[in-house]
This record gives sequence, C-alpha cells and structure tokens, in this order.
Amino acid sequence: MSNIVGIDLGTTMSAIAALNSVGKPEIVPNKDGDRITPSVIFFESINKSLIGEEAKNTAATDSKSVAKEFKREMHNDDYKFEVHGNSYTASDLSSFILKKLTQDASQQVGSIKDVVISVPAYFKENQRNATMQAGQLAGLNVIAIINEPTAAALYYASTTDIKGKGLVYDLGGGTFDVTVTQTDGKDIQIIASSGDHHLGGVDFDQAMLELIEEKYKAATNGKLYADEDGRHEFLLLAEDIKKSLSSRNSRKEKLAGEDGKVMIEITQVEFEEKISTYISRTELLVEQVLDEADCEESDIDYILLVGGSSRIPAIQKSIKKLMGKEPIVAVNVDEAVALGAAIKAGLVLVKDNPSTVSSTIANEMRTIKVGDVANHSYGAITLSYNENLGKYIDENVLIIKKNTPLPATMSDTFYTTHEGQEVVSVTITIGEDSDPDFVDKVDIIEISLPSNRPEGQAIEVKYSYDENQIMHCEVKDISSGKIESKKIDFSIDTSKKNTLDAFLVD
Amino acid sequence: MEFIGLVIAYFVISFIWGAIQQSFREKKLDGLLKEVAEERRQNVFQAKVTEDNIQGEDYDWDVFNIKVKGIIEGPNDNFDVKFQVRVFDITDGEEIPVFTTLEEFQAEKSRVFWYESEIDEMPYQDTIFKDWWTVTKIPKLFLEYPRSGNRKIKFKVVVYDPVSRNIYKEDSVTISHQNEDTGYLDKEDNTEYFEEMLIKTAMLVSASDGEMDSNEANIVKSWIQKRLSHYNEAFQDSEKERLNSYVKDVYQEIKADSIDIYEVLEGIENIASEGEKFELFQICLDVAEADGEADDAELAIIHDIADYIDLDKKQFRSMIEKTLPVTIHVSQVDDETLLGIDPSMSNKEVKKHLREQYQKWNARVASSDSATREQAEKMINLIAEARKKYT
Repeated sequence: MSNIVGIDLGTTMSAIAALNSVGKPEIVPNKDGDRITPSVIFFESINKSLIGEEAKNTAATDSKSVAKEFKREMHNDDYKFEVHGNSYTASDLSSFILKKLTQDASQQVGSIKDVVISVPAYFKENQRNATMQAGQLAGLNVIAIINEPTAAALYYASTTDIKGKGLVYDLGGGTFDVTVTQTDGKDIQIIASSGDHHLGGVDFDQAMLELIEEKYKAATNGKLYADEDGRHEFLLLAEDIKKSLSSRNSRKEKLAGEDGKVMIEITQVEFEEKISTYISRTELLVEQVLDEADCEESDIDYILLVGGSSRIPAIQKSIKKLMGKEPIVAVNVDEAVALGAAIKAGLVLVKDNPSTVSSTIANEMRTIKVGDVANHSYGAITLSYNENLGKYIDENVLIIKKNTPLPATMSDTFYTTHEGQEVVSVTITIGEDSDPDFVDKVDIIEISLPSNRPEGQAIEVKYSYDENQIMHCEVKDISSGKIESKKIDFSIDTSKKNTLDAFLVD
Repeated sequence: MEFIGLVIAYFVISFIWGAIQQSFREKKLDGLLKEVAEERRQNVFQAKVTEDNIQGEDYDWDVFNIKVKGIIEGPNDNFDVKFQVRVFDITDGEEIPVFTTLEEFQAEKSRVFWYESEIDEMPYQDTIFKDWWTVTKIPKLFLEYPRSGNRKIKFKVVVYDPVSRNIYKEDSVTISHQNEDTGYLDKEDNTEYFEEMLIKTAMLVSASDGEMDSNEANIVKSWIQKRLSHYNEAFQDSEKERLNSYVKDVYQEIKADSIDIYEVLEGIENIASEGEKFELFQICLDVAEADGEADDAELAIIHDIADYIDLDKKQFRSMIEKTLPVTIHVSQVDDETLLGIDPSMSNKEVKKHLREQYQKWNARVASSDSATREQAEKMINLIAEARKKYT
C-alpha cells in the first residue's frame, strides 16, 4: 500500500501530512523534527542549496541568493529568480520545496508518489497548473489539487461533530481565503469561496518593519539599515516581534542600526493601527463571500480560523466584531490544510485506485463527502449594444458563474449579428468582469455556418465543468444542428519536462 | 278577338310580372351592394400605433407597436403581400425621414428607417383583419429623429404586391412624441460647433498641467485628421483650414488664460449626443494619458468634465479606469472621488458601493496583465482605506 499524502505548499510555510493506518491524517515532521517548514530556499552555490529554517536564518547574510514568497508569483509568467547564473520560475522553486518535504517525510513513512497539493481558493487555472507542474518537477504524481479552505474544513469536519454553516477564515503567510461551508457531520458542501491575492503574514511583517524604522528614525533621525541584507535581518526581527505581540501587549527591543543603538518599544495597539488597512481588506472579503453565499453574519454557525496570521489578536478581534461571535481556535492553524489535503488524497485514491488503499482507510474515507464549487466564472465574449455609447461593443457574458456547485453544465444562446454570417467565433474566458479587457482568454472555438441566412440565427454555447477541472465547451448552430466542441484540460500542462530534477543538493 | 285580348293580357301581365321581378332583383342586388359597401366601410383599412414594452433575458425596451386592421383586396384568393412601415417627422410640414441605428431596420445604403415584412399570403381576394394585428414593434431606443423636442411623428403603413410593387392598401397615423435626444439635423447643424468645442476642451486638458506636450498635441491632431477623412474630398481642405485656424485661436486664448471651461462644457452639454460626449471624454482621457502620467490638475479637469456634461457614472468610471489607471497618477486625487463615492450617499450606500468596488478589483488582481494587477492592488488598498472611515 502506498502512502496517502497531502501537502500544504504555503507562501511562507509548508507542511506535509499522511494518513495513518486507520485513515486519520497526521503531520510528518521534517528531518529536523519541525512540523512546518519555511518555504525558503538559500542557493549557497551553483550546486548547493538549503531549504527551510536554515535557509530562512541564512537569508540575512546573502539575501540575493534567497528565494522566498514565490507562491505569490505563480500567475506571473514573467517572474524569474536569477541566482548563480541560473534562472528559476515559481514552479521550479516550488518543486524544490515539495521535494524537500517529500524526501524528509519518506525517510519516516516510506516512499511517496501520489500527493494532493493545496492551493488558495482564488488560484486561477494557470496558477493551479503551475502548482501541479511543480509537483511533477519534484517527481510526484499530483492526483488532485484542493483549495486550502476546503482542506481545512474537511479536516475540521472529519475530526469534530459539527453541523450547520461555517466560515473558514484562512489567513496564511501570503494569501487570504474565506469560504462558507454547509456541514452535516462528515458531509461538507462548499457554498462560496473567494480570496485576496496579496494579503498575509509577509505584509504584516513588512508593516512591522516600517513601524520599527519609523521608531528608529524618530530616535536617531538616521537609517536603520544600509542594504538589502540589513533589511532582511530586520525583517526577521519584525516577524519575531509580530509573533510575540500575539501574546503580549508590548515588546522592547534594542536596535543596532546604521546610526547607533536605540531601545524602542512597540505596542500591540501601534501594530494594530499600522495594519488597519489590511484588516479592513479582510473584512471586505468576508462581506463579499457572505454576499456571494447569500448569507447574513447571523446565519453562520461557526467560524474556523486557519493559517498562522489568524493568531494576530487584531485579526481575531476584527472577525469577532464583524461576525458577532467567537471564532473556533481549537484547530492547529498551521497544520489543518495539510491534514485536510491528506484526507482528500485518501478520497481520490479510494475513488480512482481503490486497490492501493487498505480496507480500513477505504472504510474511513467512505464516510466523508465533499462538494466543491467553481472558483471563478467562465464566460464567452459576445457583441452587445451599449446604450450609453450608442454602439455595439464586446462584452464578457458569464456562462458558468463563480460558486456554481461542481460538476456543472450551463448554456446560453446568442445570435448572429449580420445577414450571411458564415462563421461565429467564441472566445472562452475566465473571470467575473463584463469588460473583456479584464478577463483571461483561454481558448477560441470557431463554427462555420451555412451561407445566405438572415441575421439573428441562434447559436447555443454550452460549458460543462467537472470536478477534475476539465471543461467541455460546445458551440451549436441551432437551425442546422451543427456542433463544434473543445475539451479544455486545466488540470496539467505536460509540455514542460523535468529539467531541474538534479539540482537539489540539501 | 277574345284570343287577341288574352294574348295582350298575357303580355301585359308578363311585362308587369317581369318588371316586378326586375324590381325585386335590383332591390336585392342593391341590398347586397349596400351590404358589401357597409362591410367595407366598417372594415376600412387603417393603421394605429400604441406604446408598448418588450422584455427578454437581457433587454427591456419601450417600443412603438404598429398595428393594422380592415380589408385588403387582392386580385384573387391566396395572393402575396408585403407590409412596409416608414416613419417621418412632419412637425415642420414636410416629411423628413426618421433614422435608425439598427441595421435590420435601415433602408439600403442609408440610415433611414425602413421596415419590410417577409412575404405574407392573404387567403381570400378580400381578406379582412377584424382585430388589430401587429405588423412590427419598433424599439424607441433605436430611432433617431431629425430634431429634438416635441415632434409630430407619422407612421406610414403600406401593403403591396411583392412582385409588381402595386399598392393594395396604405394608411398613416401621426402621434406626438417628445424627443429628448439631439436630432440628427441638429447634430449636423452642431457638427462644426462640436468639433471646435472638442478641440478646445482637449487642448484645455493638455494645458492643465502647465505645458502642452507634443504627445498630447498628437492625440488632438490625429482626431482632427480622422474627422477630416469623413468629409467629402471637395471640402477637406477648407475644413482643415477652419480647424487649424481654430486650433491657433484656442492656443492663443489658452496662453492668455481667457477661456472659461464651464462655458465650453455648457455648450457641449447643450448640443452633443451621449455618444459625442463619450467621444469627447475619451479624447480628453487620451490627452491626459499621453505623457504617461496623470497629475492633480489633469485629474481635476477630467472629473470636472465628466461631472459637467453629466456622463453615465458607470461608463465614465470604466473609461477612466482603463485610460487613466491609478498607477499613472503622480499625485493623489481625492480618494473618494477616485472610488466613485458621492457625497450624497448614506453610510450604508457607501459601504455597499465599496463592497462592489472591492469585488470588481479583487477579481482583477490575478489578471494575466501586470498593469491591471498593479492597478487592482492600488485600488484595493484605497477601498480598504476608505472603508475604515465608514465602518
């Protein structure tokens, strides 16, 4: 029987979990005994790198050789991390983290091949592809991708007897997700989910660093640090102060800056004020998701906090004030996602490859049900009349709307715009905007039409999206019955080969 | 003698009987003819126009419903007809055609409204429509009248033979209609004025930051060139001379600081159609963007223009977000203006508006376009900042 493994590939921290012999997920510590591993890589030389805590602590001595927070660049095709003459994409760097996690874990639990990797709920298909590609580059078989809040909800529901509507508040190192779920025992249905792409612990660290700099400047009128290495060093201190202010009202610190040593004191209140705009962003997102789920605050039965940054007292106060109830803090916020991802791996294997799973685990998995939703809207660009401009303009019309339960099949009918029109071209889009300039265009389907027909011929556009992120798009000319279709597999891009496999020297 | 008398009596009686019968026949025929005449009188072909509304999944249009009833007489049973509807403005005594923006309602090679039905078959030589029957429904939105104000609009319905084009029946109906838009003849009258006001406004935007940049000038120049290409070749040179001369005058006026922009905008507000206002606004945005950055003065004048000519708020915001994204603002315009917060909004309305704005920009933050991502990040922070005030 192979190991059933889930990985939380985080912006700042990652974790790996495996199902034990009775189908319960457990965190597998790294070789240093730590249950979570910093997602940081230090490229010491062209053929040597360090990953994890050691890499993070070394960052201050050679910041240019340290790669971190690259998960935030998963959507960015232009991102390249250049070091020692080599160039790495976000997928390449993520693959190193995955390899480190699985190598360490396999020393304790045996070989690891099939894995589920978690991603933020708002990740688009290209970001999910990049994550799966990272898994491939690390030599893994990524059997599924799971949304981080879904994983956390799955873990929580599988360990606690809960019922009703839940709000999963997942504020991690670099990303923030909010999800509304409907739970009945181990039956979990996602109702709505959304995320803020650039909001998390690293932003709070940066805010704390700014606060420290302001205090230092007020005392000395000088600069705290001279270069990027110095900044990294104080960023580590900022993170440390931030963490300590989760359990204390203030902290004093002697700063050895460029203009001498100064004792400063940072209070929780000052920090809360400094991050108040970020807190405001979290509240906006919670309100948005409640709106999308068609819920009032009072409809939510429980709030589940996930992610390291949810420990910040100001965050907990904000969610309590907004929702009018205390959040649950019983779950280990750093581990819930990896644990839930391991359960998802069990569910997938029991369904797709049951012979690889023990009967005990299979029986446990069969008690759990999870239903997800479309994380984005899928649409088509059409020509519609704009009354203000007095002319026809392109418009993105949504066919499958965000938060539609999966699998889903939806269609809409459009009409030819001129007499004798012989071709209709349907541009498939991802994104909620009605303005085509603000959505991603993923493919085009063209259908040729019989000639000499008047305008206004009905054309049906039908999208079917399944739980494996595969979309079937069909364009049908109603009058002739002619159909053109295309299968769009968002799940993986196999065009990239594992050229970096040999690099990792730990 | 007796026999002769009998014969005469027979002929006399026969004559009288025949005369009586003839009289009866004539009376019957006369009655029948009267009946037919009465039926025709009662079923005279006539048209009427009612105001109606049609709705679909993505439209909701007020329409003119063109109906007919009465008799249509053809050469035989099962004869073909077509219905034609034309619309005229007769306010000033003559028939001036009404235009349409919808191609399917346009006469060949013109924008004149012209509706022609498919071929219909009339079952009887005299086919009578007892009830009002809809020929077509014309969305009001797509009609362009020659002049603005209260107009007398004549709808002419013609039934004719599709082959010979002989007219079987026709009728007209005139209604009174209040046209809120600028008429196309008004527009023609206003064309020169609009062109000049657009140039003046765009040059004022260009000068608002203290200097008129050559990139900004090129935007205005390109617009003028495009505009000239629409003129008949015979007039292009004289029009070019007119506009160049106007540019020179405006330049001097700007140098002398003698232009009141609100007068200019009021002129535009009075004569320009919605489409023209958006055209003017887009040119102003392009000018403001031409040097790669939008400063306080440019943003202020852009917002003033939008406010003064009363652009649709949603459309205006969409245009400004595309052409003058927050990422090229070199100084901060009032955040609330930038976010579209109206001082008249209640606290609750502001929060709702901010939530909608957040939803919009948060969806754009993972765009594959880096400029959009950067713009979205900045907008989200502005929204979050504003929200703190309204919590």
